[in-house]
Amino acid sequence: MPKPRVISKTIGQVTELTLIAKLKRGSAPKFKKILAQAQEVPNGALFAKLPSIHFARWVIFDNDTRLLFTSNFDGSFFTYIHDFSVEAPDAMDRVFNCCVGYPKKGCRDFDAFKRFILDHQVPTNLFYPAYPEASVVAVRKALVVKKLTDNFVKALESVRNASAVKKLTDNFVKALE
Amino acid sequence: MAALNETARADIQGNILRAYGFRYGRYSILRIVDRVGARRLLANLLDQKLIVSATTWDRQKAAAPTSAINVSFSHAGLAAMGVSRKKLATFPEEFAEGMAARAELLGDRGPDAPKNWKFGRDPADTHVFVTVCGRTPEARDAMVKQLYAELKKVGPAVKVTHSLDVGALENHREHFGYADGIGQPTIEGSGETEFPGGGTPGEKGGWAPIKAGEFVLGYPGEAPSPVKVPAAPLGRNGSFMVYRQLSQDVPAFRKFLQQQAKSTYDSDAPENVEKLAAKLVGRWRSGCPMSLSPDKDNPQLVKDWGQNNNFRYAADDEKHGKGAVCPVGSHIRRMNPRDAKIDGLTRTHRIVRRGLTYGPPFVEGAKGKATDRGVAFMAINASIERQFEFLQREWANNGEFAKLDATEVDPLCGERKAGAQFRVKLDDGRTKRMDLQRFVTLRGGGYFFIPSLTALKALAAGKA
Repeated sequence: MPKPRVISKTIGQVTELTLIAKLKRGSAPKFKKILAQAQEVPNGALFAKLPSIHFARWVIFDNDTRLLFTSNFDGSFFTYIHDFSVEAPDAMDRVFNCCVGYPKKGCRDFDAFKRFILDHQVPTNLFYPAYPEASVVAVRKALVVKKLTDNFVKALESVRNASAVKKLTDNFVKALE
Repeated sequence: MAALNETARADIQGNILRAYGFRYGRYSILRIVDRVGARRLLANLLDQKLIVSATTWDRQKAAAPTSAINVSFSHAGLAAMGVSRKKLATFPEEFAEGMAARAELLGDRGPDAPKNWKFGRDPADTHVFVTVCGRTPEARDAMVKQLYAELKKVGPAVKVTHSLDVGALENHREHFGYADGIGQPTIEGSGETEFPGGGTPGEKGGWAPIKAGEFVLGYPGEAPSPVKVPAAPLGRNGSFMVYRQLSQDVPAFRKFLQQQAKSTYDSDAPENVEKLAAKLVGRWRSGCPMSLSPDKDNPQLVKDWGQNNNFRYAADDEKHGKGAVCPVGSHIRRMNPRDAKIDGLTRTHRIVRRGLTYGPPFVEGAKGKATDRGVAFMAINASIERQFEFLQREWANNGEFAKLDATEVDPLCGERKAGAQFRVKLDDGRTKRMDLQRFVTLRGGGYFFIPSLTALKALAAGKA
């Protein structure tokens, strides 16, 4: 009997995933180094190509024997992970292949990769997203709009005539698009 | 895993790797009441060689077929044919669930919801999908007659639960007036002539054909691991087909274009209407791509298969601003973003489109009962989840993959969710925002498996 599949919690459009996997014996020091290196890359370049990931975290615990991985994302975890596994399979393998049960061919064997994730998923008992309706794309866009608006308001303070206001406004609207 | 060759093509059902180009058809859905009779029906069709394969034949030659039958099965249909539970479990989850069960995920809500469908809602009525296609109405009718004669022979064992006559309109236009069927993926080993623009744009120019495994099971695809092949003898050389009967509201679409032309250009003169019509789709109604002729239509270009699909987006975006030449939200750019900057890849999400229009052309001012018309849409792919469903969910029903808003949906086939809109850059630099109304409604459909001829023979013999 296969064990029943753990179902992720979804609130609004945000979904969570928590998984716990055993680390291969003695692999922790090397794995920690890999994760530390990944941390050094600005803006977490590893996941920069994954537009749907809000947060992801890797925690080695239990005396260097296990990995806890948690992530919040828009839509389904596998939707964009698939294309990522085609584009950058090594990057994905690096942050998981110290786990017992990780497929031999890595995420290139996507069905096996999917099974690995689902087999190690654990149920989340409480999940709280602060903005369940906002996707990563929407949040990033909103931040740009906020910055443009701040700059616009600031610039408005120092102009006096109508034509200058119009020019500022036109530029602002253009920048928003 | 060998590449596609003539032996394989002779085993793959027709109309997958290349279109028949037959303009008339009848699509029927059957219910299997008794599997013995259903197997006999299938055996009879096979014995008479009425089910046509993808063997390369010259359309101009006298020996070329003038009509064809093709057969596919829903998951419930395979079960009704006697396929074991163990083998059924080797088929993908989305196929086992069927299109009606996937409605929420596909955005098929409200008027598009299965409860409003005319067919396809009940898996017990939706076992087999049979297409009859003919070069002429007579060829189609003769083949339909033959099919019905075969159905009669097995009596109550197989019942027709739905059927629809389809036929191309003048000049291969669909009901909204657009030329259809130009942009298809070029498939490696299909035996079909390669035209520029069908495959994946190369970094240094040129186009690479899409790997056969994206459309036929058992071959390498675009991802390093090929799509899982269902249990032998069923899976290999088979494919999956998504069928959607999409009803088109021509008066609503025309009214929308006129209103938007007025509010955008202060006049609904034909040139303004045509410009907007082109911006919605990314091609002028002639089929001429905006990317090749942004300012005015060029119908001559459409006839040139070296040209009519040979364009990209990234360089225009770079030079003129994103979406200034071909709108980011336009139908053809969404459904095949080519080299445009998007989240994820394009080459793992391509579909072969088949199917024809149904219903008479709309005539302005015609009296009488409202007639249903639209397109009997078919998408053929190796993975319904990764191809058709991805297109519908990520590219048609949401704009975020291309950094548009989530409410910016495909103007034709995108879900009409709250706030559904289309935004377009005008030539004078303004941006025009349009609230999208409903022009298209889903009447029914389903997910079907297209077995190879080998698999069909096994099904007919009860050995699948």
